Amino acid sequence: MALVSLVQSAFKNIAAHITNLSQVRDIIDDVLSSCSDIDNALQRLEVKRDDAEITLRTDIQILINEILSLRRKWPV
Amino acid sequence: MSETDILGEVRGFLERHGIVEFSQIQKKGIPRVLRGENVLLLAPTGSGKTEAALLPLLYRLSKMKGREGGLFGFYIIYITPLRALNRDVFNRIKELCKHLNLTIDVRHGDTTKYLRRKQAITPPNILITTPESLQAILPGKRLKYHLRTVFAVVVDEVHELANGKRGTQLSLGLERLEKLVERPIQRIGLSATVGNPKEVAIFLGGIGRTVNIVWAGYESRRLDVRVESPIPSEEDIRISRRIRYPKHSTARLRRIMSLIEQYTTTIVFVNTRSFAEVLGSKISSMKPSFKFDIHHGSLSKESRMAAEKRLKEGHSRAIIATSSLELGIDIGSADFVIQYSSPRVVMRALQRMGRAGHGVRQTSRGVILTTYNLDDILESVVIIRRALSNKVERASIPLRPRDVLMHQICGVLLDIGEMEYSDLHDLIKRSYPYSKLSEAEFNDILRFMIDRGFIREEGTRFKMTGRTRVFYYENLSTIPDTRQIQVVDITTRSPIGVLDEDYVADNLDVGDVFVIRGRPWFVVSIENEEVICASASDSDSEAPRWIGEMIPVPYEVASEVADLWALYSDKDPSRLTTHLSSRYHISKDVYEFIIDSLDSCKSILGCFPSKKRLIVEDFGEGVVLHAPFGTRANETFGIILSALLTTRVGKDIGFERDPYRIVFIGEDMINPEHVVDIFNEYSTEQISEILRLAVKRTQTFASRFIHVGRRMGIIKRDAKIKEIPVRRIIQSFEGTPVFVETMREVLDEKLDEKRVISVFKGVHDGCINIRVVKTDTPSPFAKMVIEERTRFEVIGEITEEEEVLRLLEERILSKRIKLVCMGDGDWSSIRTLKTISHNVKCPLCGSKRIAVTFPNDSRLLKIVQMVRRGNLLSQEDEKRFKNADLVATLVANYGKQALIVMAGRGIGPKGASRILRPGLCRIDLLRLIAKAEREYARTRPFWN
Repeated sequence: MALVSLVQSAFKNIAAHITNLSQVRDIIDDVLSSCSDIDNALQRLEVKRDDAEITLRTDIQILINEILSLRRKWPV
Repeated sequence: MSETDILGEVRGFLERHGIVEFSQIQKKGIPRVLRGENVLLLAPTGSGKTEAALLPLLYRLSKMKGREGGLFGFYIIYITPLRALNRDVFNRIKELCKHLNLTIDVRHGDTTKYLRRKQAITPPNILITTPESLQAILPGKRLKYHLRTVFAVVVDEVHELANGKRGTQLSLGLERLEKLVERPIQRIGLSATVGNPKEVAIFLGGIGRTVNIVWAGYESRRLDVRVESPIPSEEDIRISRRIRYPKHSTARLRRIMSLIEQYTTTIVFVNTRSFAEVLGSKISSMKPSFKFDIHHGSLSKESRMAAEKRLKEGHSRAIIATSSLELGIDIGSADFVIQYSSPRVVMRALQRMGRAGHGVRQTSRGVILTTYNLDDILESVVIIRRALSNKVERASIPLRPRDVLMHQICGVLLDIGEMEYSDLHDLIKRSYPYSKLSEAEFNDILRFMIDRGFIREEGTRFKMTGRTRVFYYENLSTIPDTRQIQVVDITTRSPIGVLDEDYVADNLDVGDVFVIRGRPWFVVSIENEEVICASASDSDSEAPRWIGEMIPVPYEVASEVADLWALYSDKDPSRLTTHLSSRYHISKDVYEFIIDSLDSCKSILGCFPSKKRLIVEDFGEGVVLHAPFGTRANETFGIILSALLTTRVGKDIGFERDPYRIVFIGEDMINPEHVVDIFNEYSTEQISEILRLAVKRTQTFASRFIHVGRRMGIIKRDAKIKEIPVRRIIQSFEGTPVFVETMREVLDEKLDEKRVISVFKGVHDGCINIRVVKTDTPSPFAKMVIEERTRFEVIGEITEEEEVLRLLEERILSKRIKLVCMGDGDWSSIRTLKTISHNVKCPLCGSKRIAVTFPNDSRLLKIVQMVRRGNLLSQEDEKRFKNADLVATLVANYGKQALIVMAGRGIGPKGASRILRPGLCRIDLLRLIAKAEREYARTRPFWN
């Protein structure tokens, strides 16, 4: 699965569960524009997570978790 | 990997953390749990079931963590029925989790907002929770996501949950969880005591999943329990006079205190909250310095926790408790358990006795101290025998309760927004309690919900409405929502405890004295949410009485007690004695009493009642049907027979029942042949129909209807019982799911229709015979039901006002009074009003001049004796004698009516003489009593 479709699928799966929807969407746009592979994207998300305030931090963690979970199901 | 390999691997893992030897259930259970099987682990209390379930799950989780490089979400959900158990499990397992670098936390109704938020942000890997909290988190936005990682659910004390609607709700909750997770979740149930493991296993797994049952450790369970019924000594009799308590009760009280002194930590279990209070109050009055605590569900949380802490830290040596301490609250290790009076069911006996020596390879030591009552003694010995042979009662799983279904449909829609009719029906039918839900039943509930705006319909899909979420969260708990009123000490303004709203409405007035936390309190004011009271000094007041709290005796126990009677009949007394000693562990001091009582019964009744022989005893003032079929069956017999007898004679026939017999009492004599006729003449179909007609007129139905109505959104949850026009609501909701559910609840939980039908069938087929016996005075068996204070039910046309008056009458008739002969009889007798005949007279001299006083007044009889001997009286005694004389005149003229009036709250002989007049009908009499009581309540504050 390509990086873009994997991240987008992950976002679709978690959208109902997160609080800061638009901020997460912006972060995804940023990550997809600057990263070419999944490990790189995950690293970038982790950095953003560590800098975020508490609720956004959980939202990003949920996104990371979902990406990892999809990657296990459909290795890129 | 073989079982041995798996065990070896887990053992190595545990040895590194200090656990060196497995118990039997751990040996058998761990490999199965490791393999991912759904299992029901059955082992005695304290045999390490929690670890048998959790160790392999933690091991798997730890491996998973290593494999996946980290964990985020809930992975294991551990469900217990009690918040206190949550904490207990948490303390047992937290160290191991810390070693494994796994996170664990507790979540229940008392969890702070801060912690809840924390869990939503950083979910613990293992969540210990209650069924209600699981319901609360299932539709939560974030938490729902965290739940998607769950791979195993452990349900602790599964029999306890399966036995009621909490379990039904959990069963559907697990289906919802599995839908959310989108893969099978491993289900593990834990129980020490369950009579129908196969059914409970299906309940746990739902339809289409296999749950394996694993038994272990019952053969090595050590239970050292005996039955004692202390005989009063000279010293007991002397003390009994001082503390104004019956001599046998005093002997038991002193035995309790002596046992407490012999052991380090003792739990004294009693069957009712009110009795916990009475016992505490009497111990305090006998020895004020004695260190003990009281623990029951109506005490404030602070009081209960303080009591637990004092016991654990060794500041008190004993705790008097009700079922509030039955399930593993951590109070350290008690080394002895005293059960006061029969525990009534085997499951309760095992749970309570298991609290002593709570640990692997420890012996549970305890004693059942029975009252001086044949039923109580024989019931206790039967329960011990059944407990030792592990014959536990079946968990009675409620089937298709409509209120839970309605709530869970809302829950499913909150989880996923909307759903197809067929998908919703399929999901619900996967839960065992709803596996036989018909389409018609399902459609009825959907229509009811749509009509009330809880859901909406769009083609074949169902969707949420604006009311769905509010309704769901307002009704998370299926526990009957009896509002509780806080009792507050006026001087310190601190909470003392809580009382049920029903109790406060029916029984408490400003100025009344009642007992809570072992001390008497005087009611200063009753406000909306509080009863304000001040400490009172007199301890002779009644403890709060919680209606309906006595647990029913099951058929299996009652019929085995009857088998013991038969054994006496068949064998000579010495063989029975040996039998009782060897098989039933009964102590020697009660043999004689048992033999004498049975001897007397046999000579009066000619034979003993049994499963195959009913005896109708006509004792003149009423009729007793001897039927050893247990509480629920006898309640059912009572409702059916009293309704039919009322119809036949045209006057109200009331009944009282215990697990072994039912007494019918009316204004006139009852023909015992009418009872026999009913058994012979009515078909089983007619009986079922009559039962339903009669049940809906009962008070039980009305009060259940309020609770079901609250849960189904037709009665506001904060509506006060007094203000609900329940009879009118019942009428307008007849035939709706609320009515159907109330009827199901009453028939399934309170009554035993199946058993009663089988008895009627047995009579029709000639397998059960009925024998009529006429006695001059009630036989010892009959006396036990006549003297027992239980509920009183009158079947008849009920109007709103009549309903209120009937409740008043019920209260008055259940009052105990002492009759004292003012003639030559030198006679006194303590009686419950309902058991007294219309014409009150002395059985010794025939005088109708009978005075009445409160039960523990021994002075009046002495005053009367002094007058008879011509002795001079003190001024105070003179005043009392004149008062008694006036009472006796009223009783001579008006019979039982005079007693009923004077039993009204605040009505003395002068007040009664203003009420009583010839030809007063029952309703008018009750109206006048109610008016006088209101007047008394209004003016009482000014008297002081």
